[in-house]
Amino acid sequence: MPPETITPTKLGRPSAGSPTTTGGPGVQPMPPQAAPPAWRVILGREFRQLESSRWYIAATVLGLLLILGLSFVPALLDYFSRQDAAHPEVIAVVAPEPGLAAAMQAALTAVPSASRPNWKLVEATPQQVPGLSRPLPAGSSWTSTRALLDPLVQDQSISGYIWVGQVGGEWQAKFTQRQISNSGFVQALLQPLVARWRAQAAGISPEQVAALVAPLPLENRELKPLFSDKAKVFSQILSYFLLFVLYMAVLFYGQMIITGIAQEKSSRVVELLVSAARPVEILTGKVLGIGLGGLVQFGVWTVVGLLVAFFSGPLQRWLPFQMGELLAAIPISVLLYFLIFFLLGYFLYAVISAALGSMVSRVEEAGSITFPMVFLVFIAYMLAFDAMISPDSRLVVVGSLIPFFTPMVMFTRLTMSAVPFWQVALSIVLTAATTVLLTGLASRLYQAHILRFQRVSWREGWQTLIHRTE
Amino acid sequence: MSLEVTHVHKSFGNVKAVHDVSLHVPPGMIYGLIGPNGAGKTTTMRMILTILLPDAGTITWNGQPVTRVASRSFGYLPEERGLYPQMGIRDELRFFAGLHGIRGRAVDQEIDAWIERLELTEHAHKKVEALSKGNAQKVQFLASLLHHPQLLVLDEPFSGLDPVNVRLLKQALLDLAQEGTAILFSTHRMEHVEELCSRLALIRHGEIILEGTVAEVRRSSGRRLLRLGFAAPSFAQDEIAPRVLRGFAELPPPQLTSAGWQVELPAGFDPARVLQAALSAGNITLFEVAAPSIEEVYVELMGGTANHAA
Repeated sequence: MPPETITPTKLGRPSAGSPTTTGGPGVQPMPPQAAPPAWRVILGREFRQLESSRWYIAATVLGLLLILGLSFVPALLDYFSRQDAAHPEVIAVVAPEPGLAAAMQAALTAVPSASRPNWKLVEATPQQVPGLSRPLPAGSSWTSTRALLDPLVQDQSISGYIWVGQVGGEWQAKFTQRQISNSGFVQALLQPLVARWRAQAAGISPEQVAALVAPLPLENRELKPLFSDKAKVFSQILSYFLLFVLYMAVLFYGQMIITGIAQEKSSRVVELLVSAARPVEILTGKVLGIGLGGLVQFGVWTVVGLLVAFFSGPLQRWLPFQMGELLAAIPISVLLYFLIFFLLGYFLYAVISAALGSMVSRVEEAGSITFPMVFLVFIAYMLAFDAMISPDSRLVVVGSLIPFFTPMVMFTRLTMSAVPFWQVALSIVLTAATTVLLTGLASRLYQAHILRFQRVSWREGWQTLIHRTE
Repeated sequence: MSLEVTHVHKSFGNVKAVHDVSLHVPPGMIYGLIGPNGAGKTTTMRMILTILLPDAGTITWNGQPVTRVASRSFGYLPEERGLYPQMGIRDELRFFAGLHGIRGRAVDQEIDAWIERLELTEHAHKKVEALSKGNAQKVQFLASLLHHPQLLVLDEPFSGLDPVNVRLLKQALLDLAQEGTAILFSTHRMEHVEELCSRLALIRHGEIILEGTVAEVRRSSGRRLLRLGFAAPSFAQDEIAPRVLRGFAELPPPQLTSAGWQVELPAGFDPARVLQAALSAGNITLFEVAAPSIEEVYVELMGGTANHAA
């Protein structure tokens, strides 16, 4: 092209009014409306992108399937226990007096079904014990018992046998199985019986024995009860739920925030973003947008979970309480605290994620940087479990006032003991203030490292925070 | 209502990226920032957009610090192009319009008008990730101007575009300037500068080494070039022009350029003498006395430094 001959008049541009210019900004039939602040615009975009992502939909559906699947677990357990009941293991009992098998069976049945072995304790008679050639009457010797029953255990006609008798004037019991299991039960079942025989030999009447070993009645008197028993159970379930959900949220949504920030850097859209909005707006919008997506997901799961708990018959039979009863028993204040501490923890850790995300530049770096956050959550976890045992220990009280641990530890304390109101209020204020402060720090990190296309080291990150201007 | 960049400095570590740069861009002006890669063009633009903060100096729009006004009053096309790849074109444009503070039916209609104007209609339903580089760039260009910025900052707006799209974009820029938008753009393609710019600055190693209108910059060296041509199938086959030019002892040897046979006129030499001689030599098709093109000025000034002049 001849550079020296080109002047603006020789551009060959279409004359004004040609069809190509009609679409320009000059055509305005109506004025544009004012959009909401930048953080809301970003929030909306993040939320919509999350909602329409295949990952999000898949996770939500998978979660629902899991919840529905869990509701069938009790039915499954029912089925298995019926199957077991129909095919018990036969254990023969040879004892100095008849009727001992029945007495032991009765004692065994008193143990909750989930934890007892599925045994059928029988007298050693040919009717009860398949393959037994002759009955072993009460008081049979160890030698003859062993000779007859060992082969039956060997060929699995019976699962095992118990022999009780006196050797050299002292009581002894022998429990024979192919492989030993549940022998503790045999000990526990026989102990009171042997005690009775020993007492008889010593000339003590059964009534006297009963009087001697009668349990001490212990009455628990709570002068200022925090909750009813049912409310207590449910509050603790809530605190487990909070721990679980916060942990999941930190893992998944924290990661999503970090990845989102890294993606914006690697797709270079970040430069356009920061030219239009302040870092604090970008991060706030991102945290709230992805946060909202997480809340919707948890909300759906919770509602479905509660519905399942209410309306699944097998689950109701399996649970040691009625869901409706418990929900009615739970104080409103606990539900309110649950909501407060869940949101506090959720957004505190979301902001921490944003700060960490500001230090990565590529998606591949997003995985390793979550370590400090996971570490904090882990400590919070340990403290929360400590709080379940001793909610007012000095360690737990201090821990519950440290913002990173407050959501988990303070809520656990609230469900376990009467926490002074000033501590609750202080912990809420401190956590909220920390979240705001961290948002500021995250924004500074973000601003300082927008155009960095490699990972920011911890040292550099720290220097960014302590120097006022970059 | 104008952009004032005053004595701005910016260093990264020991590297002086921008050194004492001052610019003035009033409404309706298209201002070109010319220089080789790494000269400080992008850094200057990033400071105007408040993505970077200057170490010293001030940048104001309409008398106000740009940190207050940049997000709503400025539009920006970064050199590193980037959009959300998963979003549809219209959604993407709506998002950036919203980010700059506007939304609604009017914005949607304007988006559609621009999509048609920049010949994106057949791609309008696609996601950004499915677009060709040139089309993605046009979408990004739209994202920078939907909010009717008072100042449009475009970093290498034409790189990677085919001639048809370059023309579409140029026309859009000229129209926007006509409507009063101040436009600052960087390039290392000189032909764009002469076609579009009212003023330009040549920038090298972070410093402005020449600034003025296109005519001023071209005349800055004081050099005059004379080009002469006679009817011939090509400049190279034109034997008369070099013969005529060699007839003047005061003139340096003529050179064959893409624009024809050319000599640099010494000071005081009257070009009419050449015309006189040429009239009797044959059938003249080209006679021109002009200042060097921006490209020639650029090559002369940047000589030795890496450059990407076309």
